[in-house]
Amino acid sequence: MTPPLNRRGLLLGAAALTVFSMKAARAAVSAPLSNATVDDATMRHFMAVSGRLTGFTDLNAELGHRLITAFIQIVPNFRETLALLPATAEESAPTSAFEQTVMTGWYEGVVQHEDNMACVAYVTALEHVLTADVLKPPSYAYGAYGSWQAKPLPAAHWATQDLTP
Amino acid sequence: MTSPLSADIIVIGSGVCGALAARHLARAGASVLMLEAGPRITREQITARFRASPLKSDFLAPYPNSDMAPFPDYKPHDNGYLVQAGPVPYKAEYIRAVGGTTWHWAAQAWRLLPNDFRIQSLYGVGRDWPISYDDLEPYYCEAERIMGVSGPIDNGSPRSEPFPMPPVAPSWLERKFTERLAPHYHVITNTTARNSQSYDGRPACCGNNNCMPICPIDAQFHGGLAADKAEDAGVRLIAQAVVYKLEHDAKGRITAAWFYDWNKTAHKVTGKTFIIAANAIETPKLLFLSASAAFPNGLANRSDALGRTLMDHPSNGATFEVEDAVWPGRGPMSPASIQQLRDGAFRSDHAAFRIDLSNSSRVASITRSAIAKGLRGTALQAEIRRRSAHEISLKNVLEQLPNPENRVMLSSEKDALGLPKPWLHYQYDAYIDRGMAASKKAYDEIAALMGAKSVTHTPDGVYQNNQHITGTLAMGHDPATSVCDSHARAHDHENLFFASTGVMPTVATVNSTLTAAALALRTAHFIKETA
Repeated sequence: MTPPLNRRGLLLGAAALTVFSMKAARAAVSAPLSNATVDDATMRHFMAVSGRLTGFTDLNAELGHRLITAFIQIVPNFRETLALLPATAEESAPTSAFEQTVMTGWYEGVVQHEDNMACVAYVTALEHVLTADVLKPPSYAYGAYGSWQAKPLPAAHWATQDLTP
Repeated sequence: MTSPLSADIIVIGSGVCGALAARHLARAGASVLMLEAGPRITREQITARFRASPLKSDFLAPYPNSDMAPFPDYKPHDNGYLVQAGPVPYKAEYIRAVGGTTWHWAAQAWRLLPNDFRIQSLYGVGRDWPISYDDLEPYYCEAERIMGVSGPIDNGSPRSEPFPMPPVAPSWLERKFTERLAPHYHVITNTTARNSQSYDGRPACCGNNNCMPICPIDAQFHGGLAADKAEDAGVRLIAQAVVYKLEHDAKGRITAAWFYDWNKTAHKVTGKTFIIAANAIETPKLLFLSASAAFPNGLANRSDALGRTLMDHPSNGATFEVEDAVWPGRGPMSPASIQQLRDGAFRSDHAAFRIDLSNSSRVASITRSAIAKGLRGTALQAEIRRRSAHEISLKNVLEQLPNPENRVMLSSEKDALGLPKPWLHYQYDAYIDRGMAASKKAYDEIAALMGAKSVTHTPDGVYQNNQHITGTLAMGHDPATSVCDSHARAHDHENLFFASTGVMPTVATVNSTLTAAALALRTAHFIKETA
C-alpha cells in the first residue's frame, strides 16, 4: 500500500529539481534541469520497471516524469540501459548497479552519477512515504513539544507484521 | 586601502564566543567592532538549501562555502582547504559565516566536571588548568541564561543556580533505554541549549530531528542568534572581512588589524583592545601570519606553544538492533547519554568518555544500505521498516590528552586571497586506544541489555572527530609553556585576548561550546573591569 503523494510535497520537490555538481556545490549555484522529451512508451516502461523494483504499485506519474528527466540528463546511456530491463522478472537475483540507481532515485529522491547529482524529491521520496506513519522527514516538525514521548504506533497494516529482530 | 575603522574593542570572529564577549562589552558602554570572514546567512536560507540538497548526510553542504573565506568540506571530495601532514588526517569541520560553526550542532551545552580541571594533579596525565571549576561556575550560569540551557541536575557538575528551564521531554527511545539499562548504566537526558519551553522569544522544540545541519525553528541556540544579540547591543558587525594581519607597537601591544573584503581591497582597523575569536585553527593561523621582526615565530608565540596541543574528541561507535521498536527520529537528534565513565581513577590508565545515544532518523542510511545489498520490492520495504524501528547507534565522546606534536601551522598552499591554508599534524596515542577498548566493552553490555543479538563496531584504530577543536591557544600560568594567561590574555601582548575553544588546556569529555562561552564571558568581564 502506498500513502498518497500530496500536491504540496510535489511542489516542494519541483523547486529542488536542480543538478548539483562538485563545482556547483562549492559555488553554491545549481543549474536547473531542462525538460527532456520522453515518449509515452518509454515512460510506461520506466514506471513498470520502477514498480517492480520499488514494490510500490501506485507510483506517482508526475514524480516519475521528473525522475526520468533527471536520469536522462545525469546518467549516461540511461534510455538505452532502461530499455534492456524487463518490466516483469524473477525476483531472486540481486539488483544490478543500474537498477539500484533507479531505486535510489525513487527512495532517496536523489539522481546521481559520480559527482553529478540532483535532488528530485524529499518529502515524497519513498523512504519517507514508507515510514510516514511513524516519522517525519528530518527538518519537518514531529509535532507539539513532547509529542515524541508517546509509544510509536505504526499504521495498522504494518502493525500486523512481526518485524522484531 | 580605505580610511581606517576604529573602536575601543575589535573582535575578530562572530561565533558564539566572540559574539557573547562583544555583546557584554557593548552593553558596558564600549564601542565594539566585530569582523567576520564569512557571509551573513539566514535560518530560512539554510533550511531551504538542506531540503534541496542531494547530500543530506553532509552537514556542511547547505552552508555557502566561498573561495574568499573557505572552510573545510569533504563531500563528495575533500576540498583541500586543510592540508593534512598526518600520520592520521584531522578532518575538522567548521563554518565561516556570521555566527560560526554552531549554526549546526546538537546544542550539547555541558559543563566540565570539577575534576576535569585537575587531571595532572589527580591522575598524573595531561595538565591542570590555571583556573578551577569554581572560578568558572558563575560564567557557566551566565552563559546558560543567555543560551537557554536545560538539563538534569544529576549531570555531575555542581550548580549555584537552577537551569533556566526543565530538561527536554524524553523520547520513547530514551525512555526504553533508561528503563532497560538501569541499574547497570544510568541514562540521563542531555544538557542542551534547546528549548523545553518558549524562551527568549524562541519556541520550544517541535522534534524536527534536524539539529544538525540546521534547526528550522530556532528552538536551539546558535551563533547566528549570538551575533544578533551582539548587534542589538550596539556592536558594529562587518561580514566578508577576512583579517590577515595584526600589527603591534614596540611594546608588543596590538595596534591594528588588516582585513581584505571579498574584492581583496585591504582595510585597516585600529582599536585599544583586540579579541580573536576565530576558532582554534583560524586563530593560530592569523597569529602565525602576523609574524614580525620582533615576533619572528608569530604573535603570542614566544613559548612556541602556539598551535600546539590540538585536541578534539575522537569517537568510535556501535550499531545494533534492539528488541523494542523504538523508531529513532522522534524528537531531538541527541537526547540522552551515559555519564558514569567521565571520571574515575581509571583516568590514570585510559581516556574517560561519555556515551551518547543517537536519536537521529536512520531511514536514509538504512535505505541506502538496503538498496546496496541488492534488495528490491517488498523485501526492501520490510528491511527498511524493521531496521528503522529497531536499529540504533551509540558513540563515545572521549578525552584526548594534549600532545605538543598535534599542531596547526601554515601550509605553503594558498587560498584564493593568497593566504596560506592551515597545515595540520595529528595523531592518536595508546591512552585513546585503551579508552576506545573500554568503550567497546560498554557498547556490548548495553546492546545485550537492550536485547540485541549482534553488534557492529566501527573499525579499531579508526576514529571520527567531533568538531570540538581545542587546545591550540592553551591558557596557563607559565608563559614559557602556554599561549595565554588565566583570563585568556596573550602572555606576549597586553591588549590581545582570545575567545575560543582554543584556550582550553584539556578537552575533557563534553562538547566544548558552553565552556568556551563561559570562558569568553569571563574574559569580557575581566576586560571591562580592568579597562
